Amino acid sequence: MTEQQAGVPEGEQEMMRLYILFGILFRVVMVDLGKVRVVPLKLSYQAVYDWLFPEISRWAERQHHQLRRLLRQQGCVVVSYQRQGHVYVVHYRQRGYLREAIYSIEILRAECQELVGQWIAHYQRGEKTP
Amino acid sequence: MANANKRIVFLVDMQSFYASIEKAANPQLRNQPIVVAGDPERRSGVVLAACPIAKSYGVVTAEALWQAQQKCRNLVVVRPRMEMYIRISMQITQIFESFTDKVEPYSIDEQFLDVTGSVHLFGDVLQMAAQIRQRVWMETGINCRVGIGENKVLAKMACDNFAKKQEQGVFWLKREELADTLWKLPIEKLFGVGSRMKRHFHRMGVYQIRQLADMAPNVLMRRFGVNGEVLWRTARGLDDSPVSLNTYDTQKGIGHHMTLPRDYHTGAEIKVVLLELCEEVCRRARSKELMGSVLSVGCRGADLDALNGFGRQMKLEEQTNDVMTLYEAACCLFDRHWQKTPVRSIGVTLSKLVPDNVLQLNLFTDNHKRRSLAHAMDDIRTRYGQDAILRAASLLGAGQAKERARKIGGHYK
Repeated sequence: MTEQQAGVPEGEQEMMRLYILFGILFRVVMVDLGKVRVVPLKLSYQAVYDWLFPEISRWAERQHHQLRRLLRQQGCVVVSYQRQGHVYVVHYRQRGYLREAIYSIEILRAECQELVGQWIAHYQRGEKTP
Repeated sequence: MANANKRIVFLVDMQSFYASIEKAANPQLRNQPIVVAGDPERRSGVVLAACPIAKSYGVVTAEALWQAQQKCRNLVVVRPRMEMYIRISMQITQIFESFTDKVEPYSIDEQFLDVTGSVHLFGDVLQMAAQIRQRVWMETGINCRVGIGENKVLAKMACDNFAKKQEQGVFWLKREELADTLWKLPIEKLFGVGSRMKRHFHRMGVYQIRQLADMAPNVLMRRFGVNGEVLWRTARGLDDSPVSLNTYDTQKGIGHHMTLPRDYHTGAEIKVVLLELCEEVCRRARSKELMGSVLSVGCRGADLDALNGFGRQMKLEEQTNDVMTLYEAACCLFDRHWQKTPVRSIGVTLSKLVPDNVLQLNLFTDNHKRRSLAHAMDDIRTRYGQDAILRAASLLGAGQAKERARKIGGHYK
């Protein structure tokens, strides 16, 4: 069995991890927008929320779909993903092999936070979103 | 390709396990020197794990927090979260189980894998080790090192002595190459040789593992008993123990030990802790449906030196898992051997275990009623938490039960 057949190349695993992260992020941001809207505050920041949250979500969704295309080009398709207690279990088919990735929820949350931080840093520098 | 008769065993060790988890869960800490340490306010602040950056300042595991802070002024101290560490350890076991069905957790951050039957599915041995490291890194953010050998002791020594010290984090310790690898190391690098054993060997003129391997096993057996033969076999890379989840099934004893937050000076104070330890030991014995007939009590002073304390055992009149019976015997041992010196660490162990499906009836005490009461208390604790029901003595200043209910193994949950 050759190395390519036997193991998943590191790039693909990293791509899969990012694909999962962006997939979670674009959904979570919209859920958070719904929650932020109902918090009573002294002033209204509706305009900020309505721009910022969907903007991050759209960016994450774009990245998510882009990664899905790239993965598909390399023969990787996600079969299922499910939260099981404190872990997030992803099954994906990679060139005929069914593989499994088990991510810790807490670490995924931290990584999503990092991505939001990256987006904000790029925005503050006036650059195009990463 | 490995010899068909040889097994292939991996020992996977997580680098700075607790600290790595904290760094993965909190990206702001990633470039900072961090330690996971106990509670500094209660003087129980010892370093449980230090990240590689902190280690580069000279911080070492198990030293006092104040000493670590003196070595590294900008040290970030993180409180332990034992529940999370246990969860991640189980997640890593789950990852390993997708490589082989023979996975044996050796400690919270070390696991043995017998990959003899599955290595061909993942390329060769080194490719498989690399894939394991890659998956653990991608899915948990922890860097792990893999020691490879044809048995568990070789895998363990490959990891501790070589894989941890190399950039690639993988080392295969082959038995036919021991003369050029393991045998060149000093005797204390042998698995099973601690500081005391090292002193014994130095007194015998044994400084290198090679010297031990060249000795006759009879000489070692005469001096150290069965442990001498085990050490000789370890030096020769011989170990037949299987990688199995059932390794720890045959339990020989149930023990609990507590390092106290301060020195306890009076017998009354120490006996409160003794009662709590007996309670804990008996609760565990009952949960495993066991009872024991030999009780051991150990105490140490503030410097935790064995010379400033005692460790004694006694045979009980009958097998028991009843708290008060055990406590009375523990008090008896304690009163007999305590030298009135301050106590900082105390432990109770129940051994010679047998199933508790028989009950010795007694004319003077209602053992059946005592057992029912104990089971009722166990049920309450299982359902509502460890501190849902406490003995009144535990509410005294000396009591530790309430505080320990918030902890796992003496560290915060």
